[in-house]
Amino acid sequence: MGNPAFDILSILPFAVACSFGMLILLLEVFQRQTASRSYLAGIAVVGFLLTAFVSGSFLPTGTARATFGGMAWIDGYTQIFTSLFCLAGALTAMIAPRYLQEHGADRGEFYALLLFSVAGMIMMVAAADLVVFFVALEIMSIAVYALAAYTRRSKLSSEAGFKYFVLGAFASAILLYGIALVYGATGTTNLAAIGQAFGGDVARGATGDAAAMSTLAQNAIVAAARGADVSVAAVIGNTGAGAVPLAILGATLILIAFSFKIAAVPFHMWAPDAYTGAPTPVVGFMAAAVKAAGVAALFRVVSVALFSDSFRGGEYGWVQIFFALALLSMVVGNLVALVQGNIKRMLAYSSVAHAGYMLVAFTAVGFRGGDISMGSGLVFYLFAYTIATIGAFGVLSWLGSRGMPCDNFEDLDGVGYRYPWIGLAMSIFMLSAAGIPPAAGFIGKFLVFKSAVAASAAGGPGSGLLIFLVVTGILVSVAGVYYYLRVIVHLYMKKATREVPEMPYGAARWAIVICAVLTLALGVLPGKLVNSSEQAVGQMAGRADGVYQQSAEAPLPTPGGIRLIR
Amino acid sequence: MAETIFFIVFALGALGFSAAVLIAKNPINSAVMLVCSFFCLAGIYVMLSATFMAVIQILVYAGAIMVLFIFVLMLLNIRDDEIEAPRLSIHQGIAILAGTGIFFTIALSIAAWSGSSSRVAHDTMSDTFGTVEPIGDQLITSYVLPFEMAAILLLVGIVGAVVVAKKRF
Repeated sequence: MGNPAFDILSILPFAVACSFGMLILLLEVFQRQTASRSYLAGIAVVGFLLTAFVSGSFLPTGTARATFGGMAWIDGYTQIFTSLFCLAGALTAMIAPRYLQEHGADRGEFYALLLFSVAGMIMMVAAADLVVFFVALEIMSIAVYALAAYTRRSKLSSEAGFKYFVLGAFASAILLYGIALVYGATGTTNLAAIGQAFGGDVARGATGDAAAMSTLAQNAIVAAARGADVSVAAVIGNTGAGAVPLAILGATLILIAFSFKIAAVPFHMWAPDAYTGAPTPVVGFMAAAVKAAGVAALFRVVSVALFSDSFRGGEYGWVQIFFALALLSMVVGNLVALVQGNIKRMLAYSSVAHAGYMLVAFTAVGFRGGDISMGSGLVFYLFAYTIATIGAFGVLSWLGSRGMPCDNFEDLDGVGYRYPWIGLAMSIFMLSAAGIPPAAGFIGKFLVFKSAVAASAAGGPGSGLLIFLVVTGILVSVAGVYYYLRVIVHLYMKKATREVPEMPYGAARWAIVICAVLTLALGVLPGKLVNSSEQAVGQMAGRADGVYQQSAEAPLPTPGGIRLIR
Repeated sequence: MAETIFFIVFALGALGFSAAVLIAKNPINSAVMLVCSFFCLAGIYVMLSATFMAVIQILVYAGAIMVLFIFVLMLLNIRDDEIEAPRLSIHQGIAILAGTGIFFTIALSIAAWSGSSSRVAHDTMSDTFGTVEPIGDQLITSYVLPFEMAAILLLVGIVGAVVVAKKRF
């Protein structure tokens, strides 16, 4: 039964992020109560940069590999998102110290939790097995729950943390139940094996061809011939016509849990309250990185496990589910954001709307029978969205101080003249969120909608619906321009009312500048990132029909991992 | 035959105690009923040859977690007159409808599955199935990555709890 090769190097990014988290926890112990902790933010930034560097350089690019016996995939897709999460984490660590000092919560645990949650995100995207995925999701989520409740003296922050925690725990339970049902129906938690089971056995069972031997059972026999465990074939025998409803139910529950994490309507109820109450730098991190991790992992899970072969073509309604989620999120998010008086609340609903735009890409992929190259726009969109969102919340947390929070539109009055650079940066972020060139958000939206139009161009039933989705998306995003421009109106056309106290730690301003420059740069010169996102999606490992299907030397997925006979 | 009788006892016990958790007025009674329900579940695990699961169920859930529940209930110190009689609002009505719908969906799916498939026969199992040895073996071979990640998860949980609960910054 030979041990799987433990390829420690492949999870080095995860290990580096975790080590820096622990280092910060240890340094915190030796701090005097009153000493400033800002230098820990510097260590965290170094940690994030090192993680991104390790992920980019120690792993040969263009080679996808399954590590730890098919538990995680280290491929271009993992790498590009590792760099995105590290960027988000580093920017948040730069923005946070000033805010934490202002709010009397300057403790090192903040940065440690930030590093741990990024480590969880990395493994979420890399996960090749639902068990790994679940543990990674929990590492990320629990760290973010604690961050949301970080400024505990504020009642709103406690409320935000508590609401997010309780509802998030509920979503985790739903996810776990979904995983259990899928495992019951397919006999495995391995994503690729689930994909094969859905594509082969389960789907064929549905059309009455139950006699056909599943790819999975074949795999198991091959594995048995190699001296692995023989009895696996007996377990695989589970799948059949009867397993179809169970598999669909399980997959639906998994989708519900994802929809919660990315705050798609109708699972968005927690977002406005959590975003309003949580510390502003954390909100930026939640709205950007957590959502990006959810969307990226969902894309992997969906395109490997749920869209494969005959299962993906919409036969069981995945396309319809994503269609409904995308439509509702775009419409509700944009329309409710129109009437918000609180900027954080407005941005919360706008992030719901952005989840809708991202789901348009999923609908397009599903419509084209799981042609995941349609999803490359999504990667770009996530970069543009993450950077602009962290920047926008960075401006809000830089402006806000204790007793004088920057929460409402009126609080931005005249900031554009009093602090010209900050005002300019905020305008860039708003233009990017609204999808107006030359900001990066425009290219992102363009690519996503383009993929949907291209998918519908192939014709077939439902292509009209896809066009309807795109048209609705464009119409509501025009409505969305109103509330984004309202921010700019307050920045430049009202009288100044506030004064921001000088703080010794000025990294927050640099973070805002970096966000603004990146947003503009990606908007003007998107070519390089577009190419690398296409490459990353093309290299996604584990796809049944992909070039990067697990190579011969990589261990076969161990279905279920149950060894009945030793 | 004996197996069927035991199954019926444990299954009815689990259902009955779970219902009692919901119906009981005093939270402490609910907690105790939950412990009983966990014991019945553990019995079902034993019958499924998942002996390790059964032991863990009793040690962790019926033991550690329930003690925690009861501590919390005692700390909250809810008096009888503070417990309001449940009223049926429109939200709860919708929730009951949705819950019933979901229940039947799940029940029908599971029924369709169990009626049609060839499940693992008992006699193909090895003697050590469900014991500590094969599980431990799996944990440090095939599942070593999630196992090690769980260590980080626990650390994050501890740090998070301390951050949220400590008195002063």
